[in-house]
Order: sequence, then structure tokens, then C-alpha cells
Amino acid sequence: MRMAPMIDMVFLLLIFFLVAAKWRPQEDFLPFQLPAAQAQHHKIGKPEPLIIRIFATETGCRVQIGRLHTVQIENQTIEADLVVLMEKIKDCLITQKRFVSDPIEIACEPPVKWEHLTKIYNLFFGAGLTDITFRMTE
Amino acid sequence: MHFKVWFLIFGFLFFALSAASANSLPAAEDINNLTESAKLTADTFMQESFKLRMGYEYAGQFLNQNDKNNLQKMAKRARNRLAAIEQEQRKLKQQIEDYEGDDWDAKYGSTRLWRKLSADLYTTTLSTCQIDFYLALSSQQPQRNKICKDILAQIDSLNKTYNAAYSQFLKAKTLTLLARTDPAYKPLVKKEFDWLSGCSDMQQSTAFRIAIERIKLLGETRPGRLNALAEELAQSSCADDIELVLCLAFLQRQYDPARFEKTIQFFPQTENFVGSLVLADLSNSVKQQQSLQQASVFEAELAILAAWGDENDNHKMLLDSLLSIDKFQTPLILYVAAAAFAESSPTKAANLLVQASKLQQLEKSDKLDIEACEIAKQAAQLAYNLFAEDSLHCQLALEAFENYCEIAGEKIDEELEYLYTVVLNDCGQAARSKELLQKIADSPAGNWRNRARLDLIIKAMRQTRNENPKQQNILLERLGNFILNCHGQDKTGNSLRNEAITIYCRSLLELKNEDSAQNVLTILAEAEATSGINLDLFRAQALQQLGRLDESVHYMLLAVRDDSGSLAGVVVELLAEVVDTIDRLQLQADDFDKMMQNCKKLADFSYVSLNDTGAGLILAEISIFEANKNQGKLLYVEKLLNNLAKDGNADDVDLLRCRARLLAEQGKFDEAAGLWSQICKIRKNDVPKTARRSWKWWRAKFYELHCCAKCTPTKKESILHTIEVLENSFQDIPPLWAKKLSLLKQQCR
Repeated sequence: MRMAPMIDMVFLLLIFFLVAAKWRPQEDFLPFQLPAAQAQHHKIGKPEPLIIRIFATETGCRVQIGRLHTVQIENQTIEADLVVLMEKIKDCLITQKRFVSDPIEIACEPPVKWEHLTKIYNLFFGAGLTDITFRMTE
Repeated sequence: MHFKVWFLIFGFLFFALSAASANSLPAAEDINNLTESAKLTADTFMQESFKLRMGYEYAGQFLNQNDKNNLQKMAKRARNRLAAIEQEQRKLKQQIEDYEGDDWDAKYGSTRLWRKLSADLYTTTLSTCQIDFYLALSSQQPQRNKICKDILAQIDSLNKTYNAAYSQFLKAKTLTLLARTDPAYKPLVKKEFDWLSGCSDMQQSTAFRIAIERIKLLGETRPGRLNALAEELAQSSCADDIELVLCLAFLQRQYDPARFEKTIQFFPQTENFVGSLVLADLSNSVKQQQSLQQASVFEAELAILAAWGDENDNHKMLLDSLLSIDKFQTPLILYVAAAAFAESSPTKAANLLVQASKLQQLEKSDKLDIEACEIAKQAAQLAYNLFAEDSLHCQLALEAFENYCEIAGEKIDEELEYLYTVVLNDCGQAARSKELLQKIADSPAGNWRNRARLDLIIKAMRQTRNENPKQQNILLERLGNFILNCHGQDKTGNSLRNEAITIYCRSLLELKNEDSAQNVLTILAEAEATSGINLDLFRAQALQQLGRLDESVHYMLLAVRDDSGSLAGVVVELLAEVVDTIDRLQLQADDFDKMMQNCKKLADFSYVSLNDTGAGLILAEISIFEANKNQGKLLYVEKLLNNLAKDGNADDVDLLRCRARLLAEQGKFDEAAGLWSQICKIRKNDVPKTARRSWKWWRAKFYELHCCAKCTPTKKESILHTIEVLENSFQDIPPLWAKKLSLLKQQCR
């Protein structure tokens, strides 16, 4: 019996698999560390955020600033109403002795239109109120 | 030489034997010893076999096979012993008669030893015949006839030397025994008795025995002969001869049962013995499932008296059988049956006692020296015990108490009268119960008067509970007056006051208002000293309701002194309140450190008793205050908190608060502030749907800022600003925290 062809075939297959194999590193070969949650830490000792509640109405929305003021924003007169809102916010900050850097929390009801929310957000941001967060709902 | 030796040996032996023979001559002592032994053997047999022989006389047969076998064994043993003694006596007699010495007369003649030995031999032989008679009686045929014939031969042999009436009587009895199976002996028996009737030279007891046996055999030859004989016996010197009396009484039982009863009553010393015989006879009948109808009530009562106090199951069977027959339902039998069944079947026993008391009330039994009222009382007590165990016995208890009340009338026992009210109340007869309670309460004197009064108040309180607060207040006032008027350090007075104070205090403390709590303190101060009640516990609870927590803690510590853990729940409740208001207490308590030491002891007690996370957290929080910055103690708290965190939820708000307080005390203000901030977040929505913040949120916020202020000086401005914002954003800051924030603000400036 001639064995040489069979041995040739076996060697060929071995070389093929050795060349085609991918040598992957171990999964924990490169250790990494996720950044620690620091958000809570930053707020220790900080003032309580001013709560801005936005409720949807048939013709626009209603904005409640803390427990002090309520401003109605109508679709028809939105720009003028935003000016009034800004006035009320300013009054509130002064009354409560808040700084513009103090946190603001917006609690927005689901039916409120995106357009209204973005305009209010832009208004606050434009006025220098940069620490704005949104209340998360389940 | 050899011849001489042999001669000497034989000579010596002859001398020795002659000496021995001379030494073994009977002496007076030998004769007397044998006489005593014979007498003792015969007497012992008669005593030991007395019950068996009387049993035979009573029933005309052996009461059971065991009796027969036992008598046979005893008779065999005694007659063998007597036969051996007789043999010895004969041998001695022969030795005396063979003696040919010159001193014979001096030894046996003038001393009358030979005559005595002859008379003793006669007596021993006669005793053997007497025992043989009982051996024959307890033997089967043909052995019996053989023994009888031997007895007759022996007596005939005796009669050749001396013909005594007793030996002839024994002969007559033996012939009677033979005549039972062979009628040919009957004429001989009659002839013997006729001859004996003619004899006058005999002992009185023998004459009575002959008369009894003659009646047994031939019946009463003339009417009233038996009764006349009984009267003669009673008046004679033989009246103490129990065997004779019993033989006569048992004969009367066959001919005239009424006279039998009278004879037994006339000789009361025989009652117990006859009772035991009747008991054995009746028990035997029950075992063989025979009817007891034939027995008389008198006999049954005798048997029952003998069985009284004996917890034998056979006796219980006998009692059951007797109770199934109407005529045997007498007070004595019912009472004894009740006593026998009291443990195994108390319900049955109570019913029997009720029945016995009714019959005893109708006609008092002369054999039962217990009044009907006493029996009814026992029935009521037993029924009450059953009822107390299981209310299913309601009907039985009602019947027993009604019966007792009816029989006792005005002489009713106070305690049972009160227990009757309990039974009536629990058996749905509340109106009657109240009526009876009122009667007891209104009585001018009595130990149960106060008990009834208290019960009436408690009942009324239960009825008006949650319905009529005004009425409830009036009743509480009545209860208060009752406590103040219930005097005495005796067991009853103390126990009543104890119960009344407990109910009064609990009822008032349940109302949870300051006036009620104050009333509790007042009554505890004014009531007479009462033991067996934890007054300190009520004081502690009242003071807790009044907000005087430091005093409450002090009394609670006294209350748990001897407690094994049952008060742990109440202690935790108090400590939880202390922990909630600890910041206020820190400012207001007179001696906060002392209070914390007491709280620590209570917290240790509750944690050891309950061993749960809640008690552990309270212990940890109080320990922080008690430690007073002692690092060793704080380390212990840290370990405790770590253990609690393992067992429970690590994010539990109470656990976080404890950790925050601990970290602050350890000077780790940064970490403490972080935890307080976390608590603030959790507590933010304690008052939902409003912008208001809870008291606990304000506490957390204050400590968050307080810790922040201690972190680094650079943060002080920020803290100041935060406090200002808080003060201007919220109008409803709790005064304590408003004040503390204000102080903090001043510190930050």
C-alpha cells in the first residue's frame, strides 16, 4: 500500500488550518475601568433646584415656577408670553436669592408639545441658566 | 494380737451406740416443740385459707378455679407438714414405750409426758383429717372419694382410743361430701347427725357448727330454726367467732336473704370481708357474662364498698354492668361509679354524680355518708372543669349547676354560684348570667361580690365598645372607682385589683390621648399596692403618650427587669419614637446622656430578644449617641452596622441614616454628607403631590449641610447660599430645623 499521497494530504490540510486560524486574545487581556457616577456627588450641599412644571393646555401650555408664579403660554402669542415667563423667572430668582448657576429642574407632562419645551429650554439657556435637568418619569 | 484389736474396736462401738441411745431419749422440750409446730401448722392453714373457705361457704362452690387450686396447694403443704410431725410424735412415743429404764416413771409417768404425747398425737391426727377434708373438697373425683375414705378410716382409728364430738362432726362432714356423689351415704350422714344431736358433752362452737351443717344437709327441720340459731349465736360466747357467724349468715342467705342482711348488719365487722367475697363473686359473673339480676342491692352495695378506691378495670366492668340494671342505681353505687370513672370518663362521672345527688336527696343512703348537696357540688365542679376545657360540655355544665342550685338552695357555695354565671354567659344565657352576677354583686357580704362587680363592668364595656364613647367613659370611671375601692393585700383582693388595673390601663392607653394617659398615671399613683402586675409598663406607656420620653424610658427599663423578651415589641416601639425625636431630645432632655444610657440598655434587651434588623438599627443609632465620640464604642457600632447590612437591604433609609450619623461622629464628614444627601433624595417624596418636604427630609437636609460645612472651609459660602435659598423657597420649615439652619448659617458667616 502506498502511504505517501495520504501523508501529503494530511500535511497540506494541517498547514491550511494553521494559516487560516485567528489567534484571539483573552477577553480580559486589556483591563478597563468605567468612570464612577459623580453626578450625585456634585450636588451635595448645593441649593435645591427650582422646579419648573409645564402642563399642556388646549391652546398652548402653562408653566408653574416653584410655588410662586404661573405663566400661560398661548400658541398665538408665544413670543410675548415667553417674555413674561422670563420676567417671572427673574423675579423668582431674586425672591429666593438664587444664582443663575443654581440648578433648575423641569418637570414636563407628556402631552406638552416638543416645540413649547424647546422654546422654554432655549429661553432659560439663553438667559444664562445652564444647570438645567429634566425630571425623569418611570 | 489381731483378736485383741478387733475386740477393742467392737467394744468401743458398742459403748458409743449405747451412749447415743441413752442421750436420744425424748425430753419434754422435744414433745412440746412438736406440739407447737403442729398447732402452728394447723392454725396457719386455717388463717391462710380463710377467705378461700369462706368463699366456698358463700357460693356453695369455689368462686373460681384459682381459689380451688390455691386451697389444694395450701392443704397439701399443711397436711404433709402435719404428717411429718405426726411421724415424729409416733417415733418419740415408740421410744418412750420401748424405754425400760428404772427412771421411766420419773421421766414420763409422773411428769405425764407420755399421756401428753398421746393426746398431742390424737390432736395432730385430727388436724390432719380436718385439712384432708379441705384437700378432698378441692380435689377432683376419684381422688376426692379416696381422701374421704382415708379420713373416715383415720377417724375410726382415733375413735377407738377416744370418741370426741368434734371427730364425729368431722366424720359427718366427710360423709356428707361422699353423699354428694353417692346417695348410699345419706342414711349414714343422717345417723351421724342424729347421734351428734344427742351429744351434750361438746364445745359450744362445735354444737353451733353441727347445727349449721345439719340444716345445710336436711334443711330447717322446724320453721325459724335458723333465725333462732342466729339469735343464740349472737348472745353466746361464740359471737366473736367470725367463721361461725359467716357460715350461719351464708346459710341464711339461701333461706332468708332479708335475715342475711340483718345478720351482717348485726355483725358490722364482717361487712368488709363479705363485701370482698361478693365482689369476687360478682366480678366472676361479669367475666363469664352472666346476669347480675340475681344479686341483691344489699350485696351489690357491699361489693361496691369493697371495690371503692380500687382502680381495677374489672371493677369498672362490674360497675358498668350494675349501672345497666335499674335496681342497682342507688346513690352509693352511682357515687362509687362516678369516682371510678372520674379520670377515664369524666363526662360520664359528672352525669352519675348528678343522678346520685338527686337520689340521695330523695332518700339518703345509710351506706353513703355524703350529703346530696355535697355530691351535687362535686358534680358541678367536675362539669365546670370539663366545660373549661371544652365548651362542647355546655349542656352538661348547665344541668350540673342547675341541679346543684336546686339542691343547695340558700346554702349555695359562693364560688360555684359565680362559676355558674360564667357557664350561663358562655352557653348563650347572658341575661340570666347578668341577673345572677347582679345578685352576687348586690349581696351585703361575700368574697365573690367584688368579682361579680368587676365582671359586670367588663361585660358592659365589651357591649358598648366602639359604639358609645360616652358610655365607655362612664364605665371607665366606674372601673377607676372600683380599683380605688378594691382593698386588701390578700390573694383575692390583689388578683381582682390586678385584673381591673390591667383592663383600665389598657383601655385608656388604647384611646391614645393625653387625658387618658394622665388618668393612667393618676390611678397608678392612687391605687393600693398591687403585686403580680407590671405597673411600670403602664407608666412607661402613659408617659410615652404624654411625650415624656425620658421618664418613659426610665420606667420601661424597670418594667423589663424581670422580663424574658415578651416586652421587646413595646420597647422597640418606644425606642423608635426616641430615635425619631432624638434631635429634639438632644436639645430639651434634662440629662440626655443618662437617657441614652437607659435607651442603650433597652435597645440591647430588644435586640437580644428579637434579633432582627429593626431592633439592630435602633441599637446602632442609640449606641452612636451613647458612645459620645468614644472611638472604641463607635467601632462596635460599625461592626454591628456591617452585619446588619449583610442581612438586610444596604440601601435601607434607616441603615443609611445610621451610617451617616456614625461617619459624622467618626469625623468622616464627606462620606456622611453624601449619605445624608442620598437620604434627602429618598425622603423627597414623603409628602406626595405637594411641594412640601417632610420632617425627616429637613433633618437629612440639615445634616447634609452640617456635614458639608465641616468638610472644608471653602464650601462655607456655598452652604450659606444653599441655606438662604432654602429659607426663601420654603415657608413651612419645621421650627427645630429652621432654628438649626439659622444657627448653621451664622456659623458659616
